[in-house]
Amino acid sequence: MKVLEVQQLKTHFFTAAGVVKAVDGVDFTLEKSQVLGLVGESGSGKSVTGFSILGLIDEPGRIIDGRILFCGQDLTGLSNTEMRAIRGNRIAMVFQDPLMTLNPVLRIDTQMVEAIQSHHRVSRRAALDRSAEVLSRVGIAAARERLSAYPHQFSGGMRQRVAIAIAILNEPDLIIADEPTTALDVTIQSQILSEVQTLTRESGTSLIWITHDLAVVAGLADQIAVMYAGRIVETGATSQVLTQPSHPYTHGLLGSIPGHGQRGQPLLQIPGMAPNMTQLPEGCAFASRCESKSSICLSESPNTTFIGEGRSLRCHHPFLISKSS
Amino acid sequence: MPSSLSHQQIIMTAALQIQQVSRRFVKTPGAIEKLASWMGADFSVQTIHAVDQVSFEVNRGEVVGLVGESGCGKSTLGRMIAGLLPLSEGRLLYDGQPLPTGTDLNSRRSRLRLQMIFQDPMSSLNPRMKVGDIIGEAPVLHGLVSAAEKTDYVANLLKKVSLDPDYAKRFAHQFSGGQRQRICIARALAVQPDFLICDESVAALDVSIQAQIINLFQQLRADLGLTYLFISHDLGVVQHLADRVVVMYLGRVVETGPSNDLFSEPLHPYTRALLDEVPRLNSGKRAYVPIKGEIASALNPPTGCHFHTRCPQAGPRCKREQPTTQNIGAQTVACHLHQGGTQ
Repeated sequence: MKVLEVQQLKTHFFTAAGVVKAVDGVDFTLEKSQVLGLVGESGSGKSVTGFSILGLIDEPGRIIDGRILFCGQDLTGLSNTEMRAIRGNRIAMVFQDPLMTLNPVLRIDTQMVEAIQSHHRVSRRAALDRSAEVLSRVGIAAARERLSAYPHQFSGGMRQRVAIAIAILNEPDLIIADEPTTALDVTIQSQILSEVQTLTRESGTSLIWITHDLAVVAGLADQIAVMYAGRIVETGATSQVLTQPSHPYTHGLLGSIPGHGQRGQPLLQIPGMAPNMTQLPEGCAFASRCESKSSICLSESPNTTFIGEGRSLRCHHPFLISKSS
Repeated sequence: MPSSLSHQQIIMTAALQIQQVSRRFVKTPGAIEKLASWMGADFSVQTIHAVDQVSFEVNRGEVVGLVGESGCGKSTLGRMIAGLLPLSEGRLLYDGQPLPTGTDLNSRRSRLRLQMIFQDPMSSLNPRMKVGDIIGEAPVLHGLVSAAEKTDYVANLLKKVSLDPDYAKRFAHQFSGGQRQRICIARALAVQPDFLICDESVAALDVSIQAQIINLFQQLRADLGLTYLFISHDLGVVQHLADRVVVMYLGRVVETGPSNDLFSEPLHPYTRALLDEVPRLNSGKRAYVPIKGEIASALNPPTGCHFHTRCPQAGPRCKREQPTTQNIGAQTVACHLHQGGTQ
């Protein structure tokens, strides 16, 4: 069953410096209980994609085109009230910095009970029971007692667990997680990844995991979508994208990750830096950093081509994929 | 290179010797607490052992990776070596001589050989100064170049870190994160150091930019014969760069060893746990099995071995007794498992 279908999504920001095409024609689908890793560098539009799905785009940004079908319903046409009924209830989001999402002057129980009662008519006692149950599910010991704590009394990893607990309170169909482990130590990151894995497996929740770290999604995601300058340049099953990257950007990203090649050898590096989003070049946005570019790349933007087995890519000169029979 | 040979070189050419270095932070009672204690309330002075009796050496031309979770004391140690924090105990020897700690010009000048590069390039560059002045200020002040030569000197440094010499006229905010980190590196190189302390210097950068900076570090090492202490929580980066690795946990060194040995055969349960939890590209979809708990509070560290509260192999002895450091091959490890068991 398709939980989410994003079709030709375009979210542009109309700034004084020009139009920023943060998301420019993004397509992807997500099945029930699937994990999608949305990968890209800062400014590639991966977070804006997440915000667009939740209808959290503020002025001067606007979704100017495309459809976001959530369980068959188009979210782009919904009013604010209708969107609020979905947000936090059927689609939840976990942000990078839990200190920004948790209210510092309210106790955890107040915040959790509010999240439940704004969507369901239940008693405070029932809401508290549910909160304690979810807190212990994300690995917080003595959940009952911890409910009456304030956010500053938790460590960074614990706060992120609380944020995840709030996201799963109402058993959403879809969770969008925006770099939730980037600020955490590897040991804590690993604990959170393990809990997220259990959650998606047990409750059938679909997950979009937004990250710049390919290694994190390698062990977590079923599908990977690589974004560059507002577009998805390559998608496919995680194992295939990682072992046989066909877009030069994906190839470069994988080569840039230290700790896999020969120690002391130079890492494969992508020259230059991400383009200025207000002045995107004509043609392929990656052309200026690409080693296999030709004249067509500078004049014509590549279209999405499907290369079988659920893989698609946007490139005039992809690396060849050896056909597995 | 056979490990016996490298071991011999290690003994001969230690650049920096860290001997029994400790750093304590004492929380002094505030006015109200003082008042309360006069009136009979019981307030004990709280002491944090950020770095506790740490000893290791960094050899000339070597890259040593210092790894551990946040709060393990790795940055505090780096700041002490750079002379930004005084030591509570112990000695730092550089080329066999104690590092001067004074604030007089001579002590400061002799410490120029050790330079530090920080994590966040934006907060370590003065937003009101032009890049040329940021880089050129220290060498002119210390008399390494005359004021007249400054422009050429800065242009040269910018070229060394692959930036356009014209950038000297710009301000830090006009650059991207990767370029700012290059400016920080140029500033550190301006006083002609031979030892760089990199404190999470690539942690804030995107992967593709991180690769560029790592390559730059390696190229500078080859060109200028630099020695690095590379502080990082990212084991992938350390594995790629470091010749030797030092693992810290809650203020103490738990394991050291040559990269190849330590990454292929970690001896301490903590190192093993850390390595297991690094996300790997080639692992495929897998179940994450984390070590339990979080790093304990340095205010109230566990007795005996600091790691025993999270260690899957801990026994009663670990709670009781602090393990001593022991040599095993080229590695050193502080764990009862290697010293007659945990019972």
